[in-house]
Amino acid sequence: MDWRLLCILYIAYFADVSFCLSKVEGKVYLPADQHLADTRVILDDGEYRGFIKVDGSFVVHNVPTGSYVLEVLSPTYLFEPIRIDVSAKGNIRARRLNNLKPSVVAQVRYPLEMKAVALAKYFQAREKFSIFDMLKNPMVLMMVLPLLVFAVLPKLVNTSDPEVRKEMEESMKMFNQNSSMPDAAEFMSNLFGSGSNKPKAVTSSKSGKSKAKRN
Amino acid sequence: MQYNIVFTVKFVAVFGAFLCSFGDALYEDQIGKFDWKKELLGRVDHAVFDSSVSLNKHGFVTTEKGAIACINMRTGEVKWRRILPESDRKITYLAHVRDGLVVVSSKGMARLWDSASGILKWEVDLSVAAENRESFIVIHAATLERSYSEKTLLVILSKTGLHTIAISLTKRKPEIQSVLLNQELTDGDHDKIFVDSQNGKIIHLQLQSGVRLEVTVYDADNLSSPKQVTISTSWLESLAMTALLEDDTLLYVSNDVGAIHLVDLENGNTQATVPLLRLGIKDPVTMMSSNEEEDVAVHGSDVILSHGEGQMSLIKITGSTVKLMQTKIIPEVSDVVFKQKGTEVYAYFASQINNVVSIATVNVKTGKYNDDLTINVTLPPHTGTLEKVYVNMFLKRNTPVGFRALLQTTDETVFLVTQPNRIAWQRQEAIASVVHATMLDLPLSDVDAGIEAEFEESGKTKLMEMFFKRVSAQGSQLISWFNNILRDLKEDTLFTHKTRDPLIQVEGLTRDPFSLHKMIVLVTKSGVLFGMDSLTGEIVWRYFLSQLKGRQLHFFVQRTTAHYPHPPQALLLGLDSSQSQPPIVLAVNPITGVVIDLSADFINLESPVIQAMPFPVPDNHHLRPLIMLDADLNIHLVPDTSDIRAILSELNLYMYDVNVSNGLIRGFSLSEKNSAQLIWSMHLPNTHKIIKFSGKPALEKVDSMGRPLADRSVIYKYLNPNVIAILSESVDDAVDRSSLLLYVIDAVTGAVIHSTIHKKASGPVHMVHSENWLIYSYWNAKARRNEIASFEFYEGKKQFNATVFSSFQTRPDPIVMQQAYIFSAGISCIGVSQTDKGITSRQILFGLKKGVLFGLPRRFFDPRRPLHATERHREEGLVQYMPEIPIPPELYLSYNLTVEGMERIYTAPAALESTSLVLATGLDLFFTRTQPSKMFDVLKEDFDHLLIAVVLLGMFAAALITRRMAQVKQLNKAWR
Repeated sequence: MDWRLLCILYIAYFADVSFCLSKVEGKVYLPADQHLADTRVILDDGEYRGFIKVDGSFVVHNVPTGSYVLEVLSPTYLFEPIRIDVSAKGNIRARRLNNLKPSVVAQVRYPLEMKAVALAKYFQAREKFSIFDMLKNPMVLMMVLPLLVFAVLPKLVNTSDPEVRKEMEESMKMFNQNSSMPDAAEFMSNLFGSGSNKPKAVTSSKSGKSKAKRN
Repeated sequence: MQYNIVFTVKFVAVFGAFLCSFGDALYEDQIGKFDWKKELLGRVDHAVFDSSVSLNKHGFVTTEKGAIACINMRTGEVKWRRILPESDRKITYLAHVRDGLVVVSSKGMARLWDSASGILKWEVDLSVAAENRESFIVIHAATLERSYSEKTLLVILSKTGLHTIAISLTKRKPEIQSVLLNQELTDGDHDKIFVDSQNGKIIHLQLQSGVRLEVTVYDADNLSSPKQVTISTSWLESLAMTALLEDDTLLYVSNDVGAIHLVDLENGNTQATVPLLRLGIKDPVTMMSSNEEEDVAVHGSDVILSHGEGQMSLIKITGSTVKLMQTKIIPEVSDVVFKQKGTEVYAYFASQINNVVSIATVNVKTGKYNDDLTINVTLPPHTGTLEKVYVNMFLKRNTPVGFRALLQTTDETVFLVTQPNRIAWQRQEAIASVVHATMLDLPLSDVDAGIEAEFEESGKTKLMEMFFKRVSAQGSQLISWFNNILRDLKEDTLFTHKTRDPLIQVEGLTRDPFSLHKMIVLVTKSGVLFGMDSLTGEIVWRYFLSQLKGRQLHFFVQRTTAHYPHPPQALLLGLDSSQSQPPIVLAVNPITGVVIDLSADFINLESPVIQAMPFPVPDNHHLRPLIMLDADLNIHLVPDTSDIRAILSELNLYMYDVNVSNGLIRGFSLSEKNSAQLIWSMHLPNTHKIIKFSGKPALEKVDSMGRPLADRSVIYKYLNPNVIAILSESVDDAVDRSSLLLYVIDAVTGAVIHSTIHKKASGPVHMVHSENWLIYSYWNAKARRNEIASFEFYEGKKQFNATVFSSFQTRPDPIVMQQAYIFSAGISCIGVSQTDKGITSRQILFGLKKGVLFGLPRRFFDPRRPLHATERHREEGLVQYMPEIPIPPELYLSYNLTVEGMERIYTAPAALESTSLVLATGLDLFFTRTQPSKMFDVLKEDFDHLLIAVVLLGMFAAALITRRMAQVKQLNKAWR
């Protein structure tokens, strides 16, 4: 049946005063039967309803001539909505609902066989604590990578070789001179250290450093 | 399969593009923390009790709203509920047969439900057999249960015929028999059917007022050859005064003749006529009660006549003799119910004096009143009067019988009363028909109120005094804080959540810091006002005024709780729908529920009130007076003082009135003191009728005056607060000629700002109008789908006057942008989220017909959505135009719950800028909150306080240890 014929049919519906009440039949297939009682069948947004029996079959009664959308609603599953056309003579045709192009006719089997398409997903998943996720965090990456560089790289380079050692010391010197950053550990220890031995500790550490350098 | 792929591809596309931008889905563990749903039924039409001998006792009710429900009789909770289709909601008959529930709708659908699970067993459409299916109406029904066979017969009397449905346990398909009546019946009041289980007969009584009573007896197995008897009764007016007694005797009482008549149904001969006077009944009989069981076989030979002032006479008939057994005085009896169980027959008298309902019992066989079987309960205050009583009698071991009763009152409350004198539970079914809801801030706690009070009197007191007051107020705050801590320690609740809502940690009905806990005031159709705790949905107060029923109710908040020590105040205006009665005006304290009736001030109002609005500014007492305009354009104020009149004359106010019935829109000026002047009027073309109009919310807060564009320029919003949008539908509803007409009008000047016509479109429409935008849904009749039109109004790149807006200034016409989208679900209402300062982006809330509350960010309805999105558009946050609006289940605010029959969505701001509270009313009540731009001002619920504390402490410890280690190392080096 093509679209033009359908149009003619529709004009016939509205011109014809004598209404025809038909019934729309179908069957709902659910993966598990326990949700049967919560599953509803509505036609034309609840103007007409069908009630599902134990075997999954349903009938929507007293549907007048016209075109409607039939939906199966379940709290757990999603179903495909179906467009139902009831002709003036009471013949019923079911096709896929296409709101963008209403003229496209893709007929489906009637009596309807409604199968769940997907599980309805209502919720967002909470981020769970996992080491892998934490490692992917940019802040963590920023901290872990330099640590790796400092801790692992010196081990890889042969430090017993005097030439390499000299080169390294040289570069360290450069690094120390260039850095104007306050020493975080020192700052923390100054902050949290007890007042009485603070100056002593600082001086001792400084003198120790200079001595070590002079060596 | 092909579809499946399309479907999933569509889903992936939708989520791929938008999931990151939606971002607002619920977490599964948030269920029930801040949302709640009340499952309601509506006004009860019929009720039956579980007739089986099972232990788990249930009751079944059907309601005006087409709900069929199984109620747990111990708790009053709904076990299961089914809603009938909107096209066939009226239920004529309800019965419990074995383990099934028989429901017959007035359009001829007979259904049998499994009473335990609520799953349909079978359904029969009786109208199929009828010639004219449109006018098929069921008048009565009865069940014929025959103990010897497996068959149970459902007998249904329709306007045109008598039908029987044989319910068989062995056969799955019911067998139907029909017979046409020789004439069409008028209505239910003059016909009655009874069944006789012993002889397998169906008896149809048909009264032709003042002419004759026709009795037709059918054989239940073969309807074709009925036996008809005509009794001429020129004085019988209604079937209420007839009773079918045992041995096929028909008894009827006529007050005109003053006698009791006994007629033999076999031949129609009058057996006896006994004058009432001989029985000692002097006054006319007001009510006659007998066993009204459908099954005649259990009917006895007793009737109760009530006459005079509460005199109840029990009368026994043996053969053709009539004997008065006993007369007792029970005042104010509203209903007499006969109940029979086995050999025990009791009559129950339900009466109400003030708030006390008593159900007295008499053993019909012996004529003895049984005081042990009396229930006296005091109904809570503000309950209506008793409307209907459903009695459930059961056999007991020691005393012969016991009973409980379901009471229905005029305020649509259902009570279950049991022995001894106890209300087991009550259901407030009035909430199923809310006409208005408001969410109000709770009052401050006493301590906080003390500080508020200081500001109130700051003008009068001296500096030092104020200083001491402040110190003492804050001291008392400190003390109460310590007291709370101490109490928590004692009760060991210091670290536990005080309420189920993690963000509300203030107990009781006081305001919490985020103002998330509100008082919900519900105004219902039946005239009941409720104050409801938004945290739990519990009813805090209720008020009932029966005169409000059937009126148009309007609710205005005049003073909020923010003005301590002035109590909050709201006005309820009840206007008569027929415009003949004076208005009812009630001053309500929305927190305590104390109501003062102000109607007496308006009793002499000559013409009906056509429009009402609160003042835009408060008076000296922070109260916003209400202005009412009557049809003669006189102004009435509530409260009416000379001060307020003076304020009114300074304000330069305007009002508009839209008359939906004749399409007249008028604007008035209120510049003169006592009457309004018509300044403009507009008639809609008579081809269209107004179906919806909406102004902007009064005193709306708009945060930004414009929108930055990608080129760093600003486009300014057209923020005219006086704009109203009026939608009208063509009277001609043929698809090709139907149209929708939109007018956007300045209500002060009457200037039409914009107008649009949608061809081949029709209602119903739902509309939201706010800031500089307008969104409404309509039905595209040609493509047979719902569509949503979105409008935005801009002044342009230059702002005309940034400080003051006046409708009278001549300013350039606003730039109108518009777009339409396909919405693939039926809409029952539209709302919009509302936040404290209006900074948070808006969320459009949809009540979908399928029972879902759905929220989508407003930018999906931005009429500037481009067909091809470029980098510039993305920078502005514009989403590419797609004709269809996605409806993913992630954005269901009601997640997997079904909110049946939604009618309106109400929103209210919280003190948290990110959060808006949402209440959906309808058959069900659903409350939740939404964060349209995610929760940006409070730490996430799953924020790990423990981890942060551990990390901080750990770092502190590490710093100490490393310091010590560094010291040791340096010392060792120094010694080297």
